[in-house]
Amino acid sequence: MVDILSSRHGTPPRMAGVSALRFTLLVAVAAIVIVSIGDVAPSPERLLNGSERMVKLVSRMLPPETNPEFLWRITLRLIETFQIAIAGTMIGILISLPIAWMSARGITPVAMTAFLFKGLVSFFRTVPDLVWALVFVASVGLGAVAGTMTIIVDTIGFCGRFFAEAMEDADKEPQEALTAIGASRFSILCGAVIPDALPSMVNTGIFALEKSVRASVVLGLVGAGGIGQELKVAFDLFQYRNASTIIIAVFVVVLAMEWATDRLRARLA
Amino acid sequence: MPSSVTELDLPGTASRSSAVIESLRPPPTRVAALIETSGLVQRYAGASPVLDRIDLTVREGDTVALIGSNGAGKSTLLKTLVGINAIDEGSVSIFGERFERRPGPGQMAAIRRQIGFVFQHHGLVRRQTALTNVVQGMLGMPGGWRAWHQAIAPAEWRDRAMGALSAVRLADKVQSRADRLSGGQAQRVAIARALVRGPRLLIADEPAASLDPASGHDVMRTFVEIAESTGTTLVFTSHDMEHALSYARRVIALKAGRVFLDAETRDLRPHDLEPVFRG
Repeated sequence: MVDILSSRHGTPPRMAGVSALRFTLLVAVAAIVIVSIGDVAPSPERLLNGSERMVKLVSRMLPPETNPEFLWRITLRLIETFQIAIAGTMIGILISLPIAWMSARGITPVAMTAFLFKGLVSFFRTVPDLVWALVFVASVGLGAVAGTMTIIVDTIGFCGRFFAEAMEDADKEPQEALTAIGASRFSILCGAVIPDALPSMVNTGIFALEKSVRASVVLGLVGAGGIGQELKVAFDLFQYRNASTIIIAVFVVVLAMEWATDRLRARLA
Repeated sequence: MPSSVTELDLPGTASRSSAVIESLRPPPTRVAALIETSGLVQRYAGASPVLDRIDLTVREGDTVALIGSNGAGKSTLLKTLVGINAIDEGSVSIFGERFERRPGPGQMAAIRRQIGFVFQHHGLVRRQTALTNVVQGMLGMPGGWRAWHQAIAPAEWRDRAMGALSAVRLADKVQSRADRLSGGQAQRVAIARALVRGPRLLIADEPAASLDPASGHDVMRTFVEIAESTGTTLVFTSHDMEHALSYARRVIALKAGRVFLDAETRDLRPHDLEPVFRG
Protein backbone atom coordinates (compact mmCIF):
# COMPACT_ATOMS: atom_id res chain seq x y z
CA MET A 1 0.00 0.00 0.00
CA VAL A 2 1.26 3.49 -0.83
CA ASP A 3 1.75 5.71 2.19
CA ILE A 4 0.06 8.91 1.01
CA LEU A 5 1.12 10.76 4.17
CA SER A 6 4.85 10.46 3.50
CA SER A 7 6.15 13.73 2.15
CA ARG A 8 7.90 13.67 -1.20
CA HIS A 9 9.08 17.24 -0.73
CA GLY A 10 11.38 18.79 1.84
CA THR A 11 9.53 20.15 4.91
CA PRO A 12 9.95 23.95 5.13
CA PRO A 13 11.95 25.39 8.07
CA ARG A 14 9.97 26.22 11.21
CA MET A 15 10.92 29.88 10.99
CA ALA A 16 11.46 31.95 7.87
CA GLY A 17 15.01 33.18 7.39
CA VAL A 18 15.86 36.35 9.38
CA SER A 19 17.74 38.97 7.40
CA ALA A 20 20.74 40.78 8.94
CA LEU A 21 18.77 44.04 9.07
CA ARG A 22 15.79 42.42 10.78
CA PHE A 23 18.09 40.68 13.30
CA THR A 24 19.84 43.99 14.10
CA LEU A 25 16.48 45.73 14.61
CA LEU A 26 15.29 42.93 16.91
CA VAL A 27 18.45 43.23 19.03
CA ALA A 28 18.09 47.04 19.16
CA VAL A 29 14.45 46.85 20.29
CA ALA A 30 15.33 44.25 22.93
CA ALA A 31 18.17 46.49 24.20
CA ILE A 32 15.83 49.52 24.47
CA VAL A 33 13.27 47.49 26.45
CA ILE A 34 15.91 46.09 28.86
CA VAL A 35 17.58 49.50 29.45
CA SER A 36 14.17 51.17 30.01
CA ILE A 37 13.15 48.55 32.57
CA GLY A 38 16.51 48.96 34.33
CA ASP A 39 16.15 52.78 34.45
CA VAL A 40 12.53 53.38 35.42
CA ALA A 41 10.79 50.14 36.47
CA PRO A 42 10.44 49.59 40.23
CA SER A 43 13.19 47.49 41.78
CA PRO A 44 12.20 44.70 44.27
CA GLU A 45 13.57 46.67 47.26
CA ARG A 46 11.70 49.78 46.15
CA LEU A 47 8.52 47.73 45.80
CA LEU A 48 9.03 46.35 49.30
CA ASN A 49 9.54 49.82 50.82
CA GLY A 50 6.66 51.20 48.77
CA SER A 51 4.25 48.48 49.80
CA GLU A 52 4.97 49.22 53.47
CA ARG A 53 4.11 52.87 52.88
CA MET A 54 1.08 51.88 50.85
CA VAL A 55 -0.27 49.82 53.73
CA LYS A 56 0.25 52.82 56.05
CA LEU A 57 -1.53 55.12 53.60
CA VAL A 58 -4.48 52.78 53.22
CA SER A 59 -4.79 52.46 57.01
CA ARG A 60 -4.89 56.28 57.27
CA MET A 61 -7.60 56.36 54.59
CA LEU A 62 -9.91 54.13 56.61
CA PRO A 63 -12.65 54.53 57.49
CA PRO A 64 -13.78 56.87 54.67
CA GLU A 65 -15.12 60.23 55.81
CA THR A 66 -18.94 60.23 56.15
CA ASN A 67 -19.54 63.67 57.62
CA PRO A 68 -22.88 64.80 56.05
CA GLU A 69 -21.58 68.28 55.29
CA PHE A 70 -18.55 66.81 53.48
CA LEU A 71 -20.70 64.30 51.63
CA TRP A 72 -22.98 67.10 50.44
CA ARG A 73 -19.97 69.08 49.18
CA ILE A 74 -18.70 66.00 47.35
CA THR A 75 -22.14 65.44 45.80
CA LEU A 76 -22.16 69.00 44.45
CA ARG A 77 -18.66 68.51 43.04
CA LEU A 78 -19.72 65.23 41.43
CA ILE A 79 -22.68 66.98 39.80
CA GLU A 80 -20.29 69.65 38.50
CA THR A 81 -18.00 66.90 37.15
CA PHE A 82 -20.95 65.37 35.33
CA GLN A 83 -21.97 68.74 33.96
CA ILE A 84 -18.44 69.32 32.63
CA ALA A 85 -18.52 65.88 30.95
CA ILE A 86 -22.01 66.20 29.46
CA ALA A 87 -21.78 69.82 28.30
CA GLY A 88 -18.26 69.31 26.94
CA THR A 89 -19.17 66.10 25.11
CA MET A 90 -22.38 67.47 23.57
CA ILE A 91 -20.76 70.70 22.37
CA GLY A 92 -17.76 68.68 21.16
CA ILE A 93 -19.99 66.29 19.20
CA LEU A 94 -21.85 69.20 17.56
CA ILE A 95 -18.58 70.83 16.50
CA SER A 96 -17.17 67.46 15.37
CA LEU A 97 -19.96 66.95 12.81
CA PRO A 98 -19.01 69.77 10.40
CA ILE A 99 -15.30 69.12 10.98
CA ALA A 100 -15.75 65.43 10.15
CA TRP A 101 -17.73 66.35 7.02
CA MET A 102 -15.00 68.72 5.89
CA SER A 103 -12.29 66.12 6.47
CA ALA A 104 -13.99 62.91 5.18
CA ARG A 105 -12.45 61.68 1.91
CA GLY A 106 -14.96 61.52 -0.93
CA ILE A 107 -17.63 63.26 1.17
CA THR A 108 -16.11 66.68 1.84
CA PRO A 109 -17.40 69.50 -0.37
CA VAL A 110 -13.87 71.00 -0.54
CA ALA A 111 -11.39 68.20 -1.17
CA MET A 112 -8.38 70.54 -1.18
CA THR A 113 -8.83 71.60 2.46
CA ALA A 114 -9.68 68.15 3.86
CA PHE A 115 -6.10 67.63 5.06
CA LEU A 116 -6.27 70.88 7.09
CA PHE A 117 -9.30 69.65 9.03
CA LYS A 118 -7.74 66.19 9.45
CA GLY A 119 -4.58 67.87 10.78
CA LEU A 120 -6.60 70.00 13.22
CA VAL A 121 -8.38 66.91 14.56
CA SER A 122 -5.04 65.06 14.92
CA PHE A 123 -3.57 68.03 16.80
CA PHE A 124 -6.55 68.13 19.21
CA ARG A 125 -6.25 64.37 19.75
CA THR A 126 -2.50 64.05 20.22
CA VAL A 127 -2.07 66.81 22.84
CA PRO A 128 -3.04 65.18 26.20
CA ASP A 129 -6.15 66.51 27.95
CA LEU A 130 -4.20 67.61 31.05
CA VAL A 131 -2.08 69.85 28.80
CA TRP A 132 -5.24 71.36 27.29
CA ALA A 133 -6.57 71.86 30.82
CA LEU A 134 -3.41 73.76 31.79
CA VAL A 135 -3.77 75.92 28.68
CA PHE A 136 -7.42 76.74 29.42
CA VAL A 137 -6.84 77.34 33.14
CA ALA A 138 -4.13 79.80 32.13
CA SER A 139 -6.41 81.50 29.60
CA VAL A 140 -9.93 81.48 31.17
CA GLY A 141 -8.99 80.93 34.81
CA LEU A 142 -9.55 78.20 37.40
CA GLY A 143 -12.85 76.33 37.44
CA ALA A 144 -15.39 74.33 35.51
CA VAL A 145 -15.31 76.45 32.34
CA ALA A 146 -11.69 75.48 31.70
CA GLY A 147 -12.66 71.83 32.28
CA THR A 148 -15.58 72.05 29.84
CA MET A 149 -13.35 73.63 27.19
CA THR A 150 -10.83 70.83 27.69
CA ILE A 151 -13.52 68.19 27.22
CA ILE A 152 -14.79 69.97 24.08
CA VAL A 153 -11.32 69.86 22.48
CA ASP A 154 -10.78 66.27 23.60
CA THR A 155 -14.15 65.23 22.13
CA ILE A 156 -13.46 66.96 18.82
CA GLY A 157 -10.15 65.07 18.61
CA PHE A 158 -11.89 61.77 19.26
CA CYS A 159 -15.25 62.17 17.48
CA GLY A 160 -13.85 64.23 14.60
CA ARG A 161 -11.71 61.29 13.53
CA PHE A 162 -14.23 58.50 14.05
CA PHE A 163 -17.18 60.45 12.60
CA ALA A 164 -15.11 61.11 9.46
CA GLU A 165 -14.22 57.41 9.19
CA ALA A 166 -17.88 56.41 9.60
CA MET A 167 -18.85 58.89 6.86
CA GLU A 168 -16.13 57.54 4.55
CA ASP A 169 -17.39 53.98 5.14
CA ALA A 170 -21.03 54.87 4.39
CA ASP A 171 -22.64 52.98 1.50
CA LYS A 172 -21.60 54.66 -1.79
CA GLU A 173 -24.50 53.46 -3.96
CA PRO A 174 -27.21 55.70 -2.43
CA GLN A 175 -24.81 58.64 -2.68
CA GLU A 176 -24.30 57.95 -6.39
CA ALA A 177 -28.04 57.51 -6.95
CA LEU A 178 -28.82 60.83 -5.24
CA THR A 179 -25.99 62.62 -7.07
CA ALA A 180 -27.52 61.46 -10.37
CA ILE A 181 -30.81 63.19 -9.56
CA GLY A 182 -29.02 66.44 -8.78
CA ALA A 183 -29.01 66.37 -4.95
CA SER A 184 -26.52 68.77 -3.34
CA ARG A 185 -23.58 67.45 -1.32
CA PHE A 186 -25.18 68.70 1.88
CA SER A 187 -28.46 66.94 1.03
CA ILE A 188 -26.54 63.73 0.31
CA LEU A 189 -24.79 64.09 3.67
CA CYS A 190 -28.06 64.53 5.54
CA GLY A 191 -30.18 62.16 3.47
CA ALA A 192 -27.80 59.26 2.83
CA VAL A 193 -24.42 59.50 4.59
CA ILE A 194 -25.48 60.33 8.15
CA PRO A 195 -28.40 57.84 8.29
CA ASP A 196 -26.02 55.09 7.16
CA ALA A 197 -23.21 56.13 9.51
CA LEU A 198 -25.50 56.85 12.47
CA PRO A 199 -25.07 53.59 14.45
CA SER A 200 -21.30 53.96 14.33
CA MET A 201 -21.51 57.67 15.18
CA VAL A 202 -23.83 57.06 18.15
CA ASN A 203 -21.42 54.41 19.43
CA THR A 204 -18.53 56.83 19.10
CA GLY A 205 -20.55 59.50 20.95
CA ILE A 206 -21.26 57.10 23.82
CA PHE A 207 -17.57 56.18 24.09
CA ALA A 208 -16.74 59.89 24.05
CA LEU A 209 -19.14 60.48 26.96
CA GLU A 210 -17.58 57.62 28.97
CA LYS A 211 -14.13 58.96 28.22
CA SER A 212 -15.19 62.49 29.19
CA VAL A 213 -16.56 61.38 32.56
CA ARG A 214 -13.22 59.70 33.37
CA ALA A 215 -11.24 62.67 32.07
CA SER A 216 -13.32 65.27 33.94
CA VAL A 217 -12.48 63.53 37.22
CA VAL A 218 -8.75 64.20 36.82
CA LEU A 219 -9.03 67.68 35.28
CA GLY A 220 -9.55 69.16 38.74
CA LEU A 221 -5.99 68.14 39.63
CA VAL A 222 -4.78 71.07 37.53
CA GLY A 223 -7.57 73.42 38.64
CA ALA A 224 -10.10 72.81 35.88
CA GLY A 225 -13.07 72.18 38.20
CA GLY A 226 -14.95 69.09 39.28
CA ILE A 227 -14.27 66.42 41.89
CA GLY A 228 -10.56 66.23 41.02
CA GLN A 229 -10.04 69.58 42.71
CA GLU A 230 -11.40 68.16 46.01
CA LEU A 231 -9.15 65.12 45.64
CA LYS A 232 -6.08 67.30 45.18
CA VAL A 233 -6.98 69.40 48.25
CA ALA A 234 -7.53 66.22 50.30
CA PHE A 235 -4.06 64.86 49.40
CA ASP A 236 -2.35 68.26 49.78
CA LEU A 237 -3.79 68.66 53.31
CA PHE A 238 -3.16 64.97 54.22
CA GLN A 239 -6.93 64.44 54.67
CA TYR A 240 -6.69 60.82 53.55
CA ARG A 241 -10.13 59.81 54.87
CA ASN A 242 -11.65 62.53 52.70
CA ALA A 243 -9.57 61.25 49.76
CA SER A 244 -10.82 57.66 50.18
CA THR A 245 -14.45 58.86 50.19
CA ILE A 246 -13.80 60.81 46.97
CA ILE A 247 -12.08 57.81 45.32
CA ILE A 248 -15.03 55.54 46.22
CA ALA A 249 -17.52 58.13 44.92
CA VAL A 250 -15.59 58.44 41.64
CA PHE A 251 -15.44 54.65 41.31
CA VAL A 252 -19.21 54.36 41.80
CA VAL A 253 -19.95 57.15 39.32
CA VAL A 254 -17.65 55.77 36.59
CA LEU A 255 -19.02 52.26 37.13
CA ALA A 256 -22.63 53.54 36.91
CA MET A 257 -21.75 55.47 33.77
CA GLU A 258 -20.23 52.38 32.11
CA TRP A 259 -23.24 50.28 33.11
CA ALA A 260 -25.64 52.87 31.65
CA THR A 261 -23.69 53.27 28.39
CA ASP A 262 -23.39 49.48 27.97
CA ARG A 263 -27.18 49.21 28.28
CA LEU A 264 -27.66 52.07 25.86
CA ARG A 265 -25.33 50.43 23.33
CA ALA A 266 -27.16 47.12 23.69
CA ARG A 267 -30.50 48.86 23.05
CA LEU A 268 -29.14 50.61 19.96
CA ALA A 269 -27.48 47.48 18.52
CA MET B 1 -53.61 41.29 -8.27
CA PRO B 2 -54.37 44.61 -9.94
CA SER B 3 -53.45 44.60 -13.56
CA SER B 4 -52.57 48.24 -13.95
CA VAL B 5 -51.26 50.94 -11.70
CA THR B 6 -54.36 53.08 -12.02
CA GLU B 7 -56.39 50.39 -10.24
CA LEU B 8 -54.22 50.57 -7.14
CA ASP B 9 -55.47 52.47 -4.10
CA LEU B 10 -54.00 53.05 -0.67
CA PRO B 11 -56.22 52.20 2.29
CA GLY B 12 -58.11 55.34 3.26
CA THR B 13 -56.70 57.39 0.44
CA ALA B 14 -58.55 55.90 -2.50
CA SER B 15 -59.59 59.02 -4.37
CA ARG B 16 -56.46 60.95 -3.49
CA SER B 17 -54.20 58.07 -4.52
CA SER B 18 -55.52 57.81 -8.05
CA ALA B 19 -55.20 61.58 -8.36
CA VAL B 20 -51.61 61.32 -7.15
CA ILE B 21 -50.78 58.55 -9.62
CA GLU B 22 -52.28 60.75 -12.30
CA SER B 23 -49.99 63.56 -11.12
CA LEU B 24 -46.95 61.34 -11.72
CA ARG B 25 -47.75 61.59 -15.42
CA PRO B 26 -45.17 63.87 -17.03
CA PRO B 27 -46.38 67.16 -18.52
CA PRO B 28 -46.99 67.13 -22.28
CA THR B 29 -43.85 67.79 -24.26
CA ARG B 30 -43.29 70.21 -27.09
CA VAL B 31 -40.39 68.25 -28.63
CA ALA B 32 -41.08 65.50 -31.13
CA ALA B 33 -37.89 63.59 -30.43
CA LEU B 34 -37.06 63.28 -26.74
CA ILE B 35 -33.44 62.31 -27.40
CA GLU B 36 -31.47 62.88 -30.57
CA THR B 37 -27.77 62.20 -31.04
CA SER B 38 -25.68 63.17 -34.00
CA GLY B 39 -22.29 61.62 -34.75
CA LEU B 40 -21.67 60.91 -31.08
CA VAL B 41 -18.09 59.84 -30.34
CA GLN B 42 -16.55 59.16 -26.98
CA ARG B 43 -13.18 57.69 -26.22
CA TYR B 44 -11.19 57.14 -23.03
CA ALA B 45 -7.66 58.65 -22.99
CA GLY B 46 -7.05 58.45 -26.72
CA ALA B 47 -7.98 54.77 -26.97
CA SER B 48 -10.31 53.44 -29.69
CA PRO B 49 -13.80 54.95 -29.32
CA VAL B 50 -16.19 53.47 -26.77
CA LEU B 51 -18.98 55.17 -28.74
CA ASP B 52 -18.34 55.50 -32.45
CA ARG B 53 -20.52 57.89 -34.50
CA ILE B 54 -23.82 57.10 -32.81
CA ASP B 55 -26.91 58.54 -34.52
CA LEU B 56 -30.16 57.71 -32.83
CA THR B 57 -33.52 59.17 -31.98
CA VAL B 58 -35.79 58.25 -29.09
CA ARG B 59 -39.38 59.49 -29.42
CA GLU B 60 -41.67 60.54 -26.59
CA GLY B 61 -43.41 57.51 -25.05
CA ASP B 62 -41.00 54.99 -26.56
CA THR B 63 -39.87 51.93 -24.60
CA VAL B 64 -36.33 51.23 -25.75
CA ALA B 65 -34.01 48.37 -24.80
CA LEU B 66 -30.35 49.14 -25.26
CA ILE B 67 -28.61 45.79 -25.56
CA GLY B 68 -25.09 44.56 -26.15
CA SER B 69 -22.38 42.48 -24.56
CA ASN B 70 -20.01 43.78 -21.84
CA GLY B 71 -18.00 46.76 -23.07
CA ALA B 72 -20.33 47.43 -26.03
CA GLY B 73 -20.91 50.96 -24.72
CA LYS B 74 -24.45 50.73 -23.29
CA SER B 75 -23.80 52.33 -19.90
CA THR B 76 -21.42 54.85 -21.44
CA LEU B 77 -24.11 55.89 -23.91
CA LEU B 78 -26.66 56.36 -21.11
CA LYS B 79 -24.22 58.50 -19.11
CA THR B 80 -23.35 60.53 -22.18
CA LEU B 81 -26.99 61.16 -23.07
CA VAL B 82 -27.66 62.73 -19.67
CA GLY B 83 -24.43 64.73 -19.55
CA ILE B 84 -22.57 62.70 -16.92
CA ASN B 85 -19.82 61.75 -19.43
CA ALA B 86 -18.23 64.36 -21.69
CA ILE B 87 -18.63 63.97 -25.48
CA ASP B 88 -15.52 64.00 -27.70
CA GLU B 89 -17.35 64.61 -31.00
CA GLY B 90 -20.94 65.13 -32.10
CA SER B 91 -23.87 66.43 -30.09
CA VAL B 92 -26.84 65.40 -27.99
CA SER B 93 -30.25 66.97 -27.84
CA ILE B 94 -32.43 65.93 -24.93
CA PHE B 95 -35.76 67.58 -23.99
CA GLY B 96 -34.84 70.22 -26.55
CA GLU B 97 -31.59 71.06 -24.72
CA ARG B 98 -28.79 70.67 -27.26
CA PHE B 99 -25.20 70.35 -26.05
CA GLU B 100 -21.75 69.42 -27.28
CA ARG B 101 -19.06 68.22 -24.89
CA ARG B 102 -21.17 68.67 -21.70
CA PRO B 103 -24.42 70.46 -20.84
CA GLY B 104 -24.06 73.82 -19.07
CA PRO B 105 -25.06 74.01 -15.38
CA GLY B 106 -28.53 75.37 -16.22
CA GLN B 107 -29.05 72.72 -18.90
CA MET B 108 -27.83 69.99 -16.53
CA ALA B 109 -30.37 70.99 -13.88
CA ALA B 110 -33.16 71.14 -16.48
CA ILE B 111 -32.20 67.70 -17.83
CA ARG B 112 -31.89 66.04 -14.42
CA ARG B 113 -35.24 67.41 -13.28
CA GLN B 114 -36.97 65.49 -16.07
CA ILE B 115 -35.16 62.16 -15.66
CA GLY B 116 -35.65 59.31 -13.23
CA PHE B 117 -32.69 56.96 -12.78
CA VAL B 118 -32.70 53.33 -11.72
CA PHE B 119 -29.39 51.50 -11.32
CA GLN B 120 -28.40 47.83 -11.31
CA HIS B 121 -28.08 47.94 -7.52
CA HIS B 122 -31.04 49.77 -6.04
CA GLY B 123 -28.92 52.38 -4.22
CA LEU B 124 -31.44 52.84 -1.41
CA VAL B 125 -30.41 54.20 1.98
CA ARG B 126 -30.50 50.95 3.93
CA ARG B 127 -31.57 52.27 7.32
CA GLN B 128 -34.36 54.50 5.98
CA THR B 129 -37.93 53.43 5.29
CA ALA B 130 -39.26 52.85 1.80
CA LEU B 131 -41.26 56.09 2.14
CA THR B 132 -38.22 58.19 3.04
CA ASN B 133 -36.23 56.64 0.20
CA VAL B 134 -38.96 57.54 -2.27
CA VAL B 135 -39.36 61.07 -0.86
CA GLN B 136 -35.61 61.48 -1.41
CA GLY B 137 -36.33 61.33 -5.13
CA MET B 138 -37.30 65.01 -4.70
CA LEU B 139 -33.82 65.98 -3.42
CA GLY B 140 -32.76 67.70 -6.62
CA MET B 141 -35.86 69.93 -6.64
CA PRO B 142 -36.05 73.49 -5.25
CA GLY B 143 -36.34 73.23 -1.45
CA GLY B 144 -34.94 69.74 -1.77
CA TRP B 145 -33.58 69.73 1.81
CA ARG B 146 -37.12 68.88 2.93
CA ALA B 147 -36.68 65.52 1.19
CA TRP B 148 -33.95 64.40 3.65
CA HIS B 149 -36.63 62.49 5.55
CA GLN B 150 -40.33 61.86 5.05
CA ALA B 151 -41.08 63.42 8.47
CA ILE B 152 -40.08 66.91 7.28
CA ALA B 153 -41.30 66.58 3.68
CA PRO B 154 -44.21 68.72 2.43
CA ALA B 155 -47.56 66.90 2.39
CA GLU B 156 -47.62 67.02 -1.41
CA TRP B 157 -44.29 65.20 -1.68
CA ARG B 158 -45.38 62.58 0.82
CA ASP B 159 -48.58 62.04 -1.18
CA ARG B 160 -46.62 61.70 -4.40
CA ALA B 161 -44.28 59.20 -2.71
CA MET B 162 -47.26 57.19 -1.46
CA GLY B 163 -48.68 57.24 -4.98
CA ALA B 164 -45.37 56.08 -6.45
CA LEU B 165 -45.15 53.24 -3.90
CA SER B 166 -48.72 52.23 -4.78
CA ALA B 167 -47.77 52.25 -8.43
CA VAL B 168 -45.01 49.71 -7.77
CA ARG B 169 -47.37 47.63 -5.58
CA LEU B 170 -45.55 48.36 -2.33
CA ALA B 171 -48.10 50.48 -0.46
CA ASP B 172 -47.99 47.89 2.36
CA LYS B 173 -44.20 48.28 2.75
CA VAL B 174 -44.19 52.05 3.26
CA GLN B 175 -42.78 51.81 6.79
CA SER B 176 -40.37 48.93 6.07
CA ARG B 177 -36.69 49.70 6.20
CA ALA B 178 -34.90 49.28 2.88
CA ASP B 179 -32.54 46.65 4.28
CA ARG B 180 -35.52 44.47 5.24
CA LEU B 181 -36.93 44.32 1.70
CA SER B 182 -36.19 41.57 -0.82
CA GLY B 183 -33.99 42.41 -3.82
CA GLY B 184 -37.01 42.74 -6.12
CA GLN B 185 -38.94 44.88 -3.64
CA ALA B 186 -35.92 47.15 -3.12
CA GLN B 187 -35.59 47.59 -6.87
CA ARG B 188 -39.29 48.49 -7.08
CA VAL B 189 -38.76 51.12 -4.35
CA ALA B 190 -35.90 52.46 -6.50
CA ILE B 191 -38.36 52.68 -9.41
CA ALA B 192 -40.80 54.56 -7.18
CA ARG B 193 -37.98 56.95 -6.21
CA ALA B 194 -37.24 57.54 -9.88
CA LEU B 195 -40.94 58.04 -10.57
CA VAL B 196 -41.83 60.43 -7.76
CA ARG B 197 -40.86 63.61 -9.64
CA GLY B 198 -43.03 62.66 -12.60
CA PRO B 199 -40.05 62.32 -14.94
CA ARG B 200 -40.46 62.57 -18.69
CA LEU B 201 -37.77 59.92 -19.15
CA LEU B 202 -36.97 56.85 -17.04
CA ILE B 203 -33.45 55.54 -17.49
CA ALA B 204 -32.57 52.14 -16.07
CA ASP B 205 -29.08 50.66 -16.24
CA GLU B 206 -29.34 46.84 -16.05
CA PRO B 207 -32.25 47.08 -13.57
CA ALA B 208 -32.80 43.31 -13.40
CA ALA B 209 -29.21 42.09 -13.64
CA SER B 210 -28.71 41.50 -9.93
CA LEU B 211 -32.10 39.83 -9.38
CA ASP B 212 -33.32 36.25 -9.67
CA PRO B 213 -35.31 35.54 -12.88
CA ALA B 214 -38.76 35.84 -11.27
CA SER B 215 -37.92 39.12 -9.51
CA GLY B 216 -36.23 40.36 -12.71
CA HIS B 217 -39.42 39.80 -14.72
CA ASP B 218 -41.48 41.41 -11.95
CA VAL B 219 -39.29 44.52 -11.98
CA MET B 220 -39.38 44.76 -15.77
CA ARG B 221 -43.15 44.28 -15.82
CA THR B 222 -43.50 47.07 -13.24
CA PHE B 223 -41.37 49.36 -15.39
CA VAL B 224 -43.39 48.77 -18.51
CA GLU B 225 -46.77 49.08 -16.76
CA ILE B 226 -45.75 52.41 -15.28
CA ALA B 227 -44.20 53.72 -18.48
CA GLU B 228 -47.30 52.80 -20.47
CA SER B 229 -49.85 54.06 -17.95
CA THR B 230 -48.09 57.40 -17.40
CA GLY B 231 -46.79 57.89 -20.94
CA THR B 232 -43.21 58.09 -19.63
CA THR B 233 -40.42 57.27 -22.05
CA LEU B 234 -38.35 54.30 -20.86
CA VAL B 235 -34.79 53.50 -21.90
CA PHE B 236 -33.20 50.48 -20.25
CA THR B 237 -29.99 48.54 -20.81
CA SER B 238 -29.95 44.77 -20.62
CA HIS B 239 -27.90 41.68 -21.33
CA ASP B 240 -31.08 39.67 -21.49
CA MET B 241 -32.56 39.13 -24.97
CA GLU B 242 -35.79 37.85 -23.45
CA HIS B 243 -36.23 41.05 -21.42
CA ALA B 244 -35.49 43.17 -24.48
CA LEU B 245 -37.98 41.31 -26.66
CA SER B 246 -40.69 41.00 -23.99
CA TYR B 247 -40.68 44.47 -22.46
CA ALA B 248 -39.39 46.94 -25.07
CA ARG B 249 -41.17 48.21 -28.14
CA ARG B 250 -37.85 48.98 -29.77
CA VAL B 251 -34.39 47.43 -29.51
CA ILE B 252 -31.15 49.26 -30.16
CA ALA B 253 -28.17 46.92 -30.16
CA LEU B 254 -24.64 48.23 -29.69
CA LYS B 255 -21.58 46.32 -30.78
CA ALA B 256 -18.03 47.67 -30.36
CA GLY B 257 -19.41 51.17 -29.77
CA ARG B 258 -21.58 51.27 -32.89
CA VAL B 259 -25.30 50.87 -33.49
CA PHE B 260 -25.47 47.31 -34.82
CA LEU B 261 -29.24 47.03 -35.00
CA ASP B 262 -32.18 49.39 -34.45
CA ALA B 263 -35.59 47.82 -34.93
CA GLU B 264 -39.13 47.52 -33.61
CA THR B 265 -39.46 44.49 -31.32
CA ARG B 266 -42.44 43.14 -33.27
CA ASP B 267 -40.16 42.77 -36.29
CA LEU B 268 -37.51 40.80 -34.39
CA ARG B 269 -36.99 37.13 -33.57
CA PRO B 270 -34.55 35.91 -30.90
CA HIS B 271 -32.07 34.64 -33.51
CA ASP B 272 -31.87 38.19 -34.95
CA LEU B 273 -30.21 39.28 -31.71
CA GLU B 274 -27.74 36.41 -31.44
CA PRO B 275 -25.02 38.11 -33.57
CA VAL B 276 -25.12 41.06 -31.15
CA PHE B 277 -23.63 38.90 -28.42
CA ARG B 278 -21.27 36.91 -30.67
CA GLY B 279 -17.62 37.97 -30.59
